[in-house]
Amino acid sequence: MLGTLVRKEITETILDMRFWVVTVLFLILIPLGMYVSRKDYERRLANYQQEHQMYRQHYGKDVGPDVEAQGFRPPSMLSIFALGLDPFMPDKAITSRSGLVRAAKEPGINNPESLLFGKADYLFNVSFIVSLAALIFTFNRISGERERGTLRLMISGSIRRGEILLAKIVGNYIVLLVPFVIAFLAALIILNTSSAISVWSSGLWFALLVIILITLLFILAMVSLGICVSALTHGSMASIMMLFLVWIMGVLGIPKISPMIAEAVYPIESRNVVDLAARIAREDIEGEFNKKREELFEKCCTEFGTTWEDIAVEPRTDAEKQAYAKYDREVLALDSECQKRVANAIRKLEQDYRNRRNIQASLAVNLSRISPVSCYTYLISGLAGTGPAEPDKFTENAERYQEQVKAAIYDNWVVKTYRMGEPRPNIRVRQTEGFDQSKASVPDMRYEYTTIGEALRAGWIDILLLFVFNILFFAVAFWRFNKYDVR
Amino acid sequence: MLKTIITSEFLNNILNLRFIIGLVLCVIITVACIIILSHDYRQELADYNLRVNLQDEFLSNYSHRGSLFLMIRPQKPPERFRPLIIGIPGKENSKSFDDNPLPILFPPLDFLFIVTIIMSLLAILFSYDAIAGERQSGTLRLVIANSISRTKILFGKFVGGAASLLIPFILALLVGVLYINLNPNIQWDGSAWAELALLTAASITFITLFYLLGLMVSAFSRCSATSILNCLFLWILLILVIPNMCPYISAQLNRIPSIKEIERQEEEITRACIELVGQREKELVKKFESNYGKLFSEFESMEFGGVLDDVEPKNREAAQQRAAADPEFKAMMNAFRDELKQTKAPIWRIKAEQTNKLWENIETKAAAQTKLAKNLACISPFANFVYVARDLTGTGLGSLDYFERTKVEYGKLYAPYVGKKVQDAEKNDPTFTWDSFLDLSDRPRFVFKEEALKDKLGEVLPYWGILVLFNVVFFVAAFARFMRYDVR
Repeated sequence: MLGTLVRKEITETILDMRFWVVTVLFLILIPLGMYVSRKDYERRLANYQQEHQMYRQHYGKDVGPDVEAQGFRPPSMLSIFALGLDPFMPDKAITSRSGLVRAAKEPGINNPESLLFGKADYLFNVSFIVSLAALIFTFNRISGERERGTLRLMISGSIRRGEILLAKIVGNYIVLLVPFVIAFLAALIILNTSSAISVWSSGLWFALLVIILITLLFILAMVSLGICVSALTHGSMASIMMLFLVWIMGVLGIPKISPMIAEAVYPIESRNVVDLAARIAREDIEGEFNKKREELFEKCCTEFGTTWEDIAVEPRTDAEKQAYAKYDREVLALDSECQKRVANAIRKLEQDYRNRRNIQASLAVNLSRISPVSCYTYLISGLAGTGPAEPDKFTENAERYQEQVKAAIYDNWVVKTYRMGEPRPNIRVRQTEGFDQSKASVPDMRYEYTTIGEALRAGWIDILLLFVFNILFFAVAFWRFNKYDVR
Repeated sequence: MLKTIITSEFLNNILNLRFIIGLVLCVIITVACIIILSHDYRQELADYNLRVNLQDEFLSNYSHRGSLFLMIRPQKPPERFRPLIIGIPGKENSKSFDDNPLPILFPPLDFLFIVTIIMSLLAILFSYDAIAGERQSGTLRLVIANSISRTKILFGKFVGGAASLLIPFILALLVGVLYINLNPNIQWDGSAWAELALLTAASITFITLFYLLGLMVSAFSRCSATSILNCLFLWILLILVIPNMCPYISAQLNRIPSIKEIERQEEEITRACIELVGQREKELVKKFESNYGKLFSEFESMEFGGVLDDVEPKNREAAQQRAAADPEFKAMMNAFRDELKQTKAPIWRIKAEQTNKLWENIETKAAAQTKLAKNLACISPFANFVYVARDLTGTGLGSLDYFERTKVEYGKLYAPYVGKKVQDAEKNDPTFTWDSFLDLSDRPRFVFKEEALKDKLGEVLPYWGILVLFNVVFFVAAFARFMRYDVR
């Protein structure tokens, strides 16, 4: 009997005009969106390669003591599916001798119009258009049949109401999947024609499989939600209004409003303030140490019976040479302490800021999880390497790169700073033994994106929630439908 | 009779469920959004003040020439319409990737969002069954049977329906504006209120546009079920698809080379110039060798006394002494220096011209691309409205440009001031160096002034005109169709 019911739902939907409208919409939008995202990815990849190559040419060899090695972040291949945070992520990490690493973004001439409006990637298409299509397919399945009077006839047969409900969900789900799967396959073919991407490469097909499974789960949740809306209302008119309310709140309202609420509940200051505070902290500490250096130098000079005002850049007398040598030895400790303190102070500020930012972000994320669309967005953007966890991932990569560069270059140059009465530091550098400047090269940053395993581990709660939403919507629909007045 | 039609349409809508839902939704979302955004505005204002104060503190403690131009960056205050519309992040802000990333994943909710998404959908839901629905319920037949022209019926439907639709919107906006007015943190002057009035007028144009779209589709359909489907389809197309696709399409139509490519070309030009200069130098040295012979080889042994490159001080001193002692040597040295300058200068000038041209070229191309995207997006009323609303309230791309311009103006004021300060300091204190302290307490302060309303209005009127045009087109289409509508 269930089979008959499902068949009835399928034929009914296919004969309806909305099926054809949705099919056309899907067939145009999903492949087109994939095409423009692919082009965008190719452009970003080319930019990355060009920049990387240019940097190689400059610093491929002959690395001096004052180089600040830069590591470049390649674009994530899966960002074709969800652009997410990618346009806002830094492009490169700039390491430094002091142990601090900065993130920088090339101020490329990008098209500013894209900031005004949204995006057109796969994630957008599914979470906006497919979800709306799912709701449009289902919003009057029960209330509409009541209006036409067919529901009464069906109920009078020996069919349980649960079966009718299940058949409605399954039938509509299958019918919705047909245009979606066709459009998705067309999109994959478009993706595969690119020279930069191969769908069958080892990493990609598995990710694709995960993405499509999650998408199927999400669409099922939206179909159940539509049936649920239909069971909650008695006329098509009311159903449409409910659909409107649910879609606006679920797709647009909740995800948008939750970061705003989080910001209001747990405010943090902006990045600029932290940067300025860091700058002031650095100036303070460096000023303090400059004074200490001068004192040390004075001390060394008086010890060997010479006055520091007399000393020129090059020591001339024996006393001066001795004073110099002593200063040389003792200033190293001061220098390293100064660097350490600056780095610590800034790191502390940064860490503190990052902690507070993380609290705010997790508050916002959890609030927005009331909507299945947010769960889906987190999952897909997380898988694509453009999700909310990615900024931290970048910091992690950058710090690892800093260590790598430190071992390869910074540790091989000993830099000493002399201060002789005048504020301009006199810097001298020396190489460690066995280090050949002409052969040394800046190492490449090996950027590691979030792996699928990590993304799934971080997103298990979202997957669970998607299941819960499915069950919840079905349960509510079932509960309401059992008491539904079919007259 | 027209009045009766209007009243009937109005009452019909108001007594309907959708009016209640629309009203509740509008009031709750608008007011909640204005309260939250006002809160944000207060924060941003505090943040801005903090930034300005920190900068002041920095300058009063550490202002030396080395850090001056880095530190004196005019700070942009939060837009005064921030409690209503969230501005586009400028270049400074987009760098801060580790601020809260969620607003990027889900663009936040503001007045623009309420008008463009919620109100437009609501408008469609109010009008999709205005004609088809009445036909189905049979009342349209009765109305037509009366001695009233179809034009009047259609017009009455438009006026009555739009009025009932605008009530929730205006009401919600009024409550929100009252909150803004009572909030002590937000000080709006006359021009801000004028802008708000214009913004409201533009919003009404936009909302009636979608009401008319629904009316038109309704006139084209026989029953309300097809009408709502077509409406939603058109809505997706106009609001979501076209504006989102336009930047990409224009990027495909009008390609610009990447910055990296330009940098590479610039580097090539520089390298070629350096090579050319080296070659010319060699030629010059040869020429002088043949002309002056021994005298020049002596000069050469002093590494040209620092004329060509930086050399050790002793060589420079030697050359200077030699020149002071021997007038012939001095004449040769000067001739060499002059001729060298003459051969080098044109090469560097050409280089500067070429690189400038390169950058100008890419900038014009990028501007052309942006313009193309902007014009392409004009097919969608959504884009037109966004331009009008943003440019009117100083929260759009135009305001970012305007801020850049005021920054340049300030630089013109500020650079001579610093120059004079440095000169004075050097005069008074001979030991003044690049990192000596400089007292800048009487520096000209940067004050951000809003762009004049007249300029803004000139900018937005064409787009507003397109919105009005859409209104007219939809009404005419609905009219043409309704005249021949089969009311049975």
